[in-house]
Order: sequence, then structure tokens, then C-alpha cells
Amino acid sequence: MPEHFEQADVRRAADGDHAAFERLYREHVGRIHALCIRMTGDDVAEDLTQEVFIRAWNKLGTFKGDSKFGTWLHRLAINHVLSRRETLRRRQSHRAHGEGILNRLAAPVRRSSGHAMDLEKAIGELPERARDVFVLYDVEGYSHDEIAESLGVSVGTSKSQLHRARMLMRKHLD
Amino acid sequence: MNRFATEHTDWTDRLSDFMDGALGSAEHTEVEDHLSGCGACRRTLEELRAVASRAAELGPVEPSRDLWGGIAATIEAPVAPKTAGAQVIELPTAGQRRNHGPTRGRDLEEALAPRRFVLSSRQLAAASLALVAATSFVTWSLRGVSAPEQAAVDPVPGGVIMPTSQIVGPPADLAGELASLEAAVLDARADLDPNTVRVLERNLGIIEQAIDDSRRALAQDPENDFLVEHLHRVYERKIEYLRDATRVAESAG
Repeated sequence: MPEHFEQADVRRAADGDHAAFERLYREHVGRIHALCIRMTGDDVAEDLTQEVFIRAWNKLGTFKGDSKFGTWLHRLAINHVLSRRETLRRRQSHRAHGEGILNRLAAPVRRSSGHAMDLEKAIGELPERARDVFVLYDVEGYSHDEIAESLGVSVGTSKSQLHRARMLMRKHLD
Repeated sequence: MNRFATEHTDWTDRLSDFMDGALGSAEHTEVEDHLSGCGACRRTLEELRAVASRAAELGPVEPSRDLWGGIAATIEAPVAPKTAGAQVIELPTAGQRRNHGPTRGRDLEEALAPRRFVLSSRQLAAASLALVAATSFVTWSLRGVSAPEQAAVDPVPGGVIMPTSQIVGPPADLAGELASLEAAVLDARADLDPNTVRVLERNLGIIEQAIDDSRRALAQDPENDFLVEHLHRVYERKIEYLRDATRVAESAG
């Protein structure tokens, strides 16, 4: 979507235009869902993705336009994932013993095949803190300063967790 | 681990910083010198670079289903009229929230700050007790009760089978199933015995009251995860009850 179109849609959505917000959703859902999957796993990623967009809708008025909408949304998603994933995991675990309330489709998540899928799986097997840093640094391109701030850890911890993650990921290379 | 292995790990531990350009110049040179004479570290460095390179190539992942319906159901949820005798506290609209929402940069603080626990114990206790009462009705109410017992159950004033004390919509992940079950129960109502309908109305009224009470507590503390979770559980109980109701209606039809 051209940037000026997106800016217009952001303004319309902030004024309550659902159709404009749906266009923003369709433009960004893949990246947000990817973040949710990589930081939490498949089981709660769709719930989190929905919540991120609902939260974004509620907070659109705080978006001042001094960064791209996608950047703002992504940052919001990271914060939301970090604050909500444990709650959602407990809920998901509870649901797993029930009768399938979510009525999920059995279709697997669409992903690129081969190497990318192997790498996705390997990311999911990383210890949580190492995975957070790996996803945010190597996949998403955040700096250690930004990651340390988001995770509430020191820059040194962010660096050491990144190294730990990369070392663990080596065995998944061809 | 022997001394050589320990010393070697010291070198290995610096390789990520080395490849990211995060070492000071003196230390960078020191690692370079080590790499020139250490094949194991050179291989490790190549592998680390390959991992980072492959990670950077990962792209978006589309959900396995379209999530827009659930999002739309939530952001478009209407605010229902007040029910007689019930005070409805409305949550702020999206626009109101925007006007009073946190400024940019607050997200991080919100995510990391300890959760405020401002909970009205009276409201939550009422919600919980009502929910227990409602669910305890489930087993017997739809599977036949004696006439005197049924006569003692007052219908909900106004006789609505589906009280709609909506303050905000149901959770996005439950909204679809809830709507379809509610529609199914409404459709099946004509097939049910009038006394069963009264019991159904009564129990749904209790569940709706539990939902209202939970929402009121949530309205006072919208960011409280405990309340969000509690409200979600009440909705799940409502779904379970509606499922029972549809099964009974199917067997009656």
C-alpha cells in the first residue's frame, strides 16, 4: 500500500472508519501474526494477533504520525505480546481440556516451505528469553538498546541471550 | 570443562558481538587475531552468520483463518440499551479512549509495570456467586424438573430469552460461536416446553448478570488481566450452557 494511502487510512480509522481499519489490518496482519507466532507459538498467536489489532483500534488516537504506522503497530504488538502471552497460554491450556470452544480450522499455518519452516520450528524450540531477543534482533532488526528496554533487561543480557540463541540455532542449519 | 575449553568458550562468547560490530576496536582486533589461528572459531563464526542471515530473510506469516471477523465484531459491538432496573456502566468508546489514552511511549511502561489490582471484591464475589448458581442450574434445568419446581422459577421480567446487557462485545475469540449458539437457541425456542423456556430465560439471566457484574468491575479497571480472564471464563460458561440448550432443543425437536 502506498504510504500516502496508508496515512489517509490511518486518519480515517482514527475517525472511526472500520473499512479503512480493515485495509490497515490486511496490509499488516502477516507481519504482526509472524511476530506473535515467533514470540509465543502457534497455539495463542491468533488470539494475540486479534487482540493487537483491537488494541491498535483503541489507541489509534495516540498515533501521532512521527513514525510509520507499521512501526507503531509493531511496537504495540511487542508490548502486547510480552504482557499477555502468559495469560493466554493458561487460558489455552484450560481450553485444551474442553470441547474445542475456538472451533479452529485444522488447516496448518501457511508458511513458506523448506528452510524457512525448519527455522520457524527451531525458533519455537528456543528458551523464551533467548527467543525473544533472537526474534527482535535477527528477525525484526531492533537494536540491543531497544530490546533491553522492551524486555526490562540490561543490554548485556540482551547480547548474551542473542548469542545463546544463535549458538542453539546452529544445529538447525543444513 | 578443562582450562583450554574454558578459554575457548571465552573466545566463542565474543563472536556474536564481533560479527555485529559491537566490540571496541582493541577487542575486535584481539578476536580477529584469534580467528586467524583458530579454525574452530572461524567455523562457529560462519555458522552464526548463517543463522543471522537466514533469520533476516524470514517473512510475514498469514493466519490460518481470517481474523478480521472477530476484530470487526469487537470494534463494531453496539452499546445496548439499559435493561430495566439495572445500572449499566458504559466503557469508554474508542474515540473517548483515544482522547484520554496514554501517549506514545507509554506502551512499554504499561507492559512492564506491575499490574494494578483495583478490584471490587463485592462485585466480583457477586459475579462469581451468580455464575456458580447459574452453572449449578445447568444440569437439572434443561433435563426436566417437576411442575412445582418450575412454577417457583419466575420468568425474567419482560420475558426476553436472550438478555442483551451489552456494555462491550464478547471476547473476539468467542464472539462467533456465541452469536451462532444464541441464534440457534432463539430458533429452537418454539420447540421447547414453555416451562423449559422459562428456566432457560432465568438461567441465561443469571449468567448475563454475572457478565454485567464482571464488566462493571472491568470498567473500573480496564487493564486488569485478572478481570479480563474472569469475564472470559463467564463467557465460556455461557457458551457451555447454550450448547446444552441447543442439544436439549434438538432432542425435543
